[in-house]
Amino acid sequence: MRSQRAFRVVFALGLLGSPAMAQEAPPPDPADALEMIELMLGRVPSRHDSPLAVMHGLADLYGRSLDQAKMGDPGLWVLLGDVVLRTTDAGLMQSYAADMLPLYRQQPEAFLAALSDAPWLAPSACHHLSAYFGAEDRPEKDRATFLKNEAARISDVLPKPVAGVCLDTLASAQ
Amino acid sequence: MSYAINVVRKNGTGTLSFKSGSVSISETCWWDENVVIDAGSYTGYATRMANKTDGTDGGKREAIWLGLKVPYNGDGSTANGFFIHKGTNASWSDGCIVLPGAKVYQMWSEITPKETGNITVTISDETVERGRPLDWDCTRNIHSFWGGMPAFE
Repeated sequence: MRSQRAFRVVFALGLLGSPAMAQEAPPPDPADALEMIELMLGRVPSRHDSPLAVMHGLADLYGRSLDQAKMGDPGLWVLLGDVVLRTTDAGLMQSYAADMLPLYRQQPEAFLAALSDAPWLAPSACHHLSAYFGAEDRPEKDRATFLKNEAARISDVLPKPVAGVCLDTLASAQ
Repeated sequence: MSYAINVVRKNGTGTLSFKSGSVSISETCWWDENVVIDAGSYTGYATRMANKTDGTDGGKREAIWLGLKVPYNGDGSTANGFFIHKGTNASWSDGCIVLPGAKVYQMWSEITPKETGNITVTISDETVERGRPLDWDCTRNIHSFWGGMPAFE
């Protein structure tokens, strides 16, 4: 019964995928979508049989969704980033801090399109973008240049209040 | 074979200690002061962080994982992603405990087998009490009790 409900939610998530993005990147694996839902509900993902497998499984989900993001569909990876931040997954927060800004630089339009589709993801995504600067001995001084270069683009794409929150987040060390 | 890692925290930095065979480590460590693992004892696993490619041996980053539902900030919150891993200061941490990579690698290499809950990680806080308690300020407390300076007529 529980798995049937989860499948219906996974199916619905699949229907929500952007048609434009769907042509460029394959849709998420249903098992990954189910794991994402279980994580969002605070449950231990059912496909893993030990605590260590849960940790490695989440790291693998990060890797697969990052690969999908690099193919032009960052939605699932950004969503996972929101879950990671809300659940204070310290190890993966460090990964997002290192990986999100380089991905944004490679494809800012696709990245901001994902945030435009789901503006509620912008605060966490902007947190991860901001956390790039100063973390793991990366220079803090590059923050101002990034903000100067990207402020107009972010303001053009995101709803005004969301863009404001994002730019405020980007302006301050996380 | 089982192993013990002890972390004693004090005033924003700590000391991580590990001893096994010929390896004896006592090293300064750091963490994010906004996300502080609760003092206690946790089962650790020597593993690698799959999404960090800066391992000391050229592979993925070597780390000790502290398990699921580790409590932090003393408020009932728990999280699944706390590690002990390399780092040179608190900027390397969102809650993990970090210390110089060479020491992590030395400790990590000594622990066998990997991917097994064969480590007891004990985290404690050292409290230092110096001097003596302040004198009881009865005047201030009377004022506080009355909500301000009492009116004596």
